[in-house]
Amino acid sequence: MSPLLSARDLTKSYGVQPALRGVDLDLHEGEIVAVRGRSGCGKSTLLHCLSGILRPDGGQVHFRGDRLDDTSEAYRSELRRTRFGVLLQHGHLISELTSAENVALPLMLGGGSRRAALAAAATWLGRLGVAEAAEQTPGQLSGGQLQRVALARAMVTQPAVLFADEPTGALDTLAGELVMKLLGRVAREQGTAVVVVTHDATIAAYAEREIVLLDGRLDPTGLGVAVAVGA
Amino acid sequence: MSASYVLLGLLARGPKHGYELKQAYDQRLPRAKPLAFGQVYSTLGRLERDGLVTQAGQDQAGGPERTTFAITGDGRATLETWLAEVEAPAPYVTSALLSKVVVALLVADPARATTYLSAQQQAHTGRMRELTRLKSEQDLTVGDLIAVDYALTHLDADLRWLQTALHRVADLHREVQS
Amino acid sequence: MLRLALAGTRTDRLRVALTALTAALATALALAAATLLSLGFTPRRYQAIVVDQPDLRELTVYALVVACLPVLALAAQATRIGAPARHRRLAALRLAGATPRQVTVIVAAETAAAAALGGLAGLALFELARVLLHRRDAAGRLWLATDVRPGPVATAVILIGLPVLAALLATVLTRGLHGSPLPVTTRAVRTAVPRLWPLSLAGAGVVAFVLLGTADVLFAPGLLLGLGSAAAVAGGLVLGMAWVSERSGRLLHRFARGPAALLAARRLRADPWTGSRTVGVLVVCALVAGALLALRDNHRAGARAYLLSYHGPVPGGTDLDYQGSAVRMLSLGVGFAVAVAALGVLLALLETVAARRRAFAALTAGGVTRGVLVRALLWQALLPVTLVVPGAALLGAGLVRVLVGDVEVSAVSGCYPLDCSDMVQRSPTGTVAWFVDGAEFAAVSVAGLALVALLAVAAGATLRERTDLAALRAT
Repeated sequence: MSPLLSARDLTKSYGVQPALRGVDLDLHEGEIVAVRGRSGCGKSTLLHCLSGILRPDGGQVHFRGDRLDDTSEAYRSELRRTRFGVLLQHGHLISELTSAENVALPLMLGGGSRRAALAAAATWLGRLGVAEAAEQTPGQLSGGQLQRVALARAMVTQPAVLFADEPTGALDTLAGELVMKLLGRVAREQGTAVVVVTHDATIAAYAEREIVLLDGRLDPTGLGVAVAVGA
Repeated sequence: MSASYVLLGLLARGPKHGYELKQAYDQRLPRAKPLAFGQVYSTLGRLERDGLVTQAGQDQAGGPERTTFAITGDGRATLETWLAEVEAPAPYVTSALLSKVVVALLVADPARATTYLSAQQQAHTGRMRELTRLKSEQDLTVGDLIAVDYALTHLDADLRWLQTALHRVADLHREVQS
Repeated sequence: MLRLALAGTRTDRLRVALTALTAALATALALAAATLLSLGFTPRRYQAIVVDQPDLRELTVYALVVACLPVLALAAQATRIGAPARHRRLAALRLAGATPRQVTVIVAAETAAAAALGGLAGLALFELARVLLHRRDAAGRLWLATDVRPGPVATAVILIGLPVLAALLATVLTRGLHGSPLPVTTRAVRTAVPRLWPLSLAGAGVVAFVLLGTADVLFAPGLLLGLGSAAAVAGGLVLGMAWVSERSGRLLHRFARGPAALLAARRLRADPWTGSRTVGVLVVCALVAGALLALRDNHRAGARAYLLSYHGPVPGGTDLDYQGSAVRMLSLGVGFAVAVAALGVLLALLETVAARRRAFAALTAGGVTRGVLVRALLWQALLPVTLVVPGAALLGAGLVRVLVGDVEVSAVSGCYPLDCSDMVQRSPTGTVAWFVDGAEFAAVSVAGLALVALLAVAAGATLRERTDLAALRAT
């Protein structure tokens, strides 16, 4: 089966600092993949390139067979709104909107009516167990609730791929466990493919497979560090 | 042996038969090795000899499994003392994993070390995935979850330690080289 | 520590530059007013009527002082540029051990230095203007009072007073730092609910002004009271803008259809104070502009009545020039007010965009297009403005109308010599009602609103098209 999202030989530098030095990745429908590595190994950059937030310097990204990396910002923005979902470490919800309005926003941006969008939002908030937070603003929610609302917002457009960057980084163990469980469940139910970037092995354990980055490249050993010997 | 203290703790709630004791033990410590009947009675015998439990009654049906055991005052005191003691946080480091990693890093050549370490890590992450799946899929009791968390946390600790060890040796190597 | 305090980003340099600029402008205006004041009450031999005739001169002085108001409002706004970042930096200083007093001194020093620099620049500007505008006509008369300097006392007061005032204002505005040295997070900040009393104050001011105006009180205490009630009106309107922003936000939320309107509505409700700062300068300028428009139209009406009183050719007379000069000066005043207002609005909008970089970055990461964000900005900027600014301008015009009363109509009752070339005797025949030219007023209002819209779009243009990852990472 051909992959849903595939990347070949991605390179990206920030000025003179290389972040990615040729990374390949294949993602299939419904699978959950973890991307691990030390800080600065290029995990987040990889995520940004895959989701179209950044354009890679070299290499290609294909989504459903179409090339993604050489398209316009407007096209990629549209894609992020309709076919991709993004979940970051800090929810980045809009602080003055209520949870329901935050979740409804992507649908409204896509041209949907306010009423329909809010109804869909209510459904998703219920599915993730945060229905009681619907009329509250982000400032009034706990970290775990915030991330679940952010997850609802990411999933409300029924995306083909969900990109999660350290989704539990700011949460305690139990809150993080709940978010990962829900993430796995909704991904399975919707058939969404998930890419989770994390440095935490207990979070990566929620994925079916993992790739490890080392200095912007794939590390086949999975160790994330070059092995030296002798002392 | 801690099995004695667990039995004392169970008896502190009220007198029990031997059979009830075994059931309660298995329920509270589901992931631990199940306690054999023989072990239950030998432990109870030891406790009775030391005056920490006493036989409280006999059912008509008779037989050792129908004997009710109860905790004594001394038993309670011993239990209190045990609970008040802190478990010495791993004063001695004994681990097969530690030995193997140390040897691999210090003695083997880089290629073989990498092969072993990579395989070890895969084993750990594989087991972690299994346990995580377990947590998500089945309806587990709190006792089960606590035990699974224990396992996961320790596996994670092993992995983190492994990472640190690799980095230490790599840094040392760089220093030595330069 | 001084180095830490002075270290700044581009935004901080902008703030300092703008403070200096507004200080320069205010200084120049104040010096001009002081020059005119130093001429006393005797008529001099100047070409420009507004400078020559004592009573018009007095009017000009008032006008200059009034023109300072928008500039000062702009200055107050300028000190708030980059405020969040500076606040964080100062909080970090506090955490490192600086006392509240030290921090206050830093802020006051920066503002005072900028204002002092600006003051010197203003002085230079003034001197330059004196040289450039020093012209004599055929009869040997100077155009403006460029041969006179403001008195040394007045100059000193202006050059020293302005920086001191600026420093005081800055310390008042940064009093929030006297509390804990911990930076205030967005979660912890509770914005106060806007209250209705400022608008009531404005209303009371209007009533007082009307009563004073109709009572025809012209002596000194009356004048002070009049100024006081005018200040109450202006101040009340500015302070009451927060309430208007919040209410209009609520209204918009009820009827909003699209995402842009929803974002704007919530933003207005969540932070009506920042929104009201956008409009504050504009409201003051609208009041002033309305007043000036009314004065101008009053003069026009007077000129018309004057012309009508002649059934033949009009002898070239100082009266008509008198009127004409006044009209020109007042038109200049209106233009000046509009320019200052535009700058103020642009500043406020840029500040809004800059302060919410993180929120905007998150929106863009989630796929919100710049178009939607710009539309939201437009809603946010235009809604309170449309509701209040035309009203403020009308209010300003109305107050002047009440103050000035009807235009006197007089007829020529006698001449000496008979061709009315030298002395003209006039007798009043009645009064004529007047008001601002409706069409012109509407045109100016619409132009003003269009200007605000344009500025909002310009500010929106500074939004990044791509996701601002650096802003996203900042916590």
